[in-house]
Amino acid sequence: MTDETLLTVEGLKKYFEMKRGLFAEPEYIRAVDDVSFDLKKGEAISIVGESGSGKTTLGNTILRLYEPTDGKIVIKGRDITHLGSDDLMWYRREASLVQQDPFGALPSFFSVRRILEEPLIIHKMGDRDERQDRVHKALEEVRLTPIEDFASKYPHMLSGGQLQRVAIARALILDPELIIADEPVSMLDASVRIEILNLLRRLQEDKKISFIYITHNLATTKYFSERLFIMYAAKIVETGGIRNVIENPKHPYTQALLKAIPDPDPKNREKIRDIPPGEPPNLIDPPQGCRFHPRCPHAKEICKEEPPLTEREDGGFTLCWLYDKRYGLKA
Amino acid sequence: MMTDNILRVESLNLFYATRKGTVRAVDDVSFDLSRGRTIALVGESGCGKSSLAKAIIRLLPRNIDTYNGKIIMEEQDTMELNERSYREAVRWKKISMVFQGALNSLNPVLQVGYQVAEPLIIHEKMEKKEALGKALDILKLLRIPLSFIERYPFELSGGMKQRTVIAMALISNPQIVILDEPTSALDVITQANILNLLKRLKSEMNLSFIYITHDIAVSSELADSVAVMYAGEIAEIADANEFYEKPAHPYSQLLMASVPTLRTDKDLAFIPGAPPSLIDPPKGCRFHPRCPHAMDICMKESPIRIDLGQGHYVRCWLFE
Repeated sequence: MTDETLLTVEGLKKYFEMKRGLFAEPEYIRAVDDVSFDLKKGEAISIVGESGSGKTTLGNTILRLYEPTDGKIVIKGRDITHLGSDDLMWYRREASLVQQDPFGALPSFFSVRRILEEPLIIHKMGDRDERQDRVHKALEEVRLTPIEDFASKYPHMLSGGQLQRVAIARALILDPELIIADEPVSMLDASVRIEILNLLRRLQEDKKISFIYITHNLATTKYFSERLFIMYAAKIVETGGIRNVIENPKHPYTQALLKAIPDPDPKNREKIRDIPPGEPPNLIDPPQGCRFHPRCPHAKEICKEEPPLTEREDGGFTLCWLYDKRYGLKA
Repeated sequence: MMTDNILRVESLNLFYATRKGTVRAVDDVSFDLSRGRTIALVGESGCGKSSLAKAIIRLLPRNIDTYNGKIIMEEQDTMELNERSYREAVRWKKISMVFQGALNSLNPVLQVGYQVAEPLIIHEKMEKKEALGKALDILKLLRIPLSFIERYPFELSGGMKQRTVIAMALISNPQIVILDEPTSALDVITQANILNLLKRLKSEMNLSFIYITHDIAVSSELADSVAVMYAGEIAEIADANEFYEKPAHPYSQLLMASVPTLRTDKDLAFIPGAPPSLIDPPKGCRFHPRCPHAMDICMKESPIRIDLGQGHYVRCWLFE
């Protein structure tokens, strides 16, 4: 990993407009609300959040599948926040996506060879032979061997794990600098999950590809990345080195998340876990101030104001009043 | 340990007839369950765990090829009952089920209270008022705020819907509840809250659970004993204390080693290959093509059930 920054996201917002009637005032779903971070070249980060936290929208907005409402996305020094569709073709070669559902992400009427060739055709890269070479290389990279066998198969002939390998090969085919992997293993069986995570890890290390791993499963992140971002109700509430955050979570939401995740242990059945009740807020009208305060065991009046960023020792931060001196002052 | 047996399943088979051949979804499955205890059925998708649940509660599709064995509750083999008496005396009353993804199949136009009370009104011909009163009791037990009784499913969060579904399974006072992936559609914090609730129900009402899940870490939240299913068969069955510490079957060991843990560091294992088809499972031990310890005999003969003592059984030639 070098210190060169690949991607900078600054104050990124994505609001979706919702109209409830012809003359009604539009409402906004604030799916991503003021998210900022840097990603270095060759670095892997994890974004963890519950469903509805906005993590998938964040990924899709960074990929410019959505146009941001506000904020800035800069990759390799180039501002792509509002790039038009012609210039976006360049970005499509720099950044790609691995989705959650490999059964739905691959066209069923294409052979594996054609699935992998399609991006090359669209981007007018190489002649037939060169394209075949790249397809073979990509299949080798994801260890789908014997290559000739797999290249001529159709998606329905493959298992979930194999399909996800094809999806990863497709993400690799244009030689991107950044891959966003959105829950790449959550639909796979436990026994193949690790295989796929190992594969992604190897690609990151060997090919120096930067990864954004989006997941709800905190336990898998430390097998894959160095830095962790915890997302709650469209905001990043805590970030830091993965092991540091797991051992020393500062934000009450991170603490609750960690408490809620069991390791296999027969003693678990004798414990009632101390977990905050309730569920995440809706994003049309989220709570004032800290969005976690209605569920937070430490909430005070001051939590109804926008929480400050407090630095963690590891260079990360947490978005919480608890570590601000004003927290102690007010009732 | 087997003091107060509430359910005994003996040599249960459930095969489906399909155009491609016979699917041996549940193949010679036996286990015991005591009152107030939980058995976790763990396995990967397609291993037959949901079929086993449906076979136990006798909610079967039409394309049945074979359905036999014994399902003994209170010293009565329910397999001997015809459908009518099974429906009247057993299903929902002695044994009920929370289906996978059921939170998405609540009736959208029924209020929660009525939805929970409906079985009493329809099946037990109870007065509407009385049935709603009973529903209220159950909802209270599940810590659903009473104001929710007049709400419709779309007004509920995922956790509240799941509580409603559990209330529906409990309304007729069963002693055994089958929970098929009751939390896998939920977020981790909501999942932990539902598991807390199930733990309380288990001890307060002395309920027995058959808990089906693919998630070994989560299974340890409820399980008193664990049965690992592979390709339609139970590969291993053991007391929870023993299972999570030292699983015996090579498949169980690999499955345990593939679980990412938060608090301990370990290298994760994976199992090469994919689970076999249940139409034409491998000869001998069904796990042998993926097993790191496979021997000659494993390819030829199906392993017998070996007793390791204290209710720990394993189907593996390594222990013979």
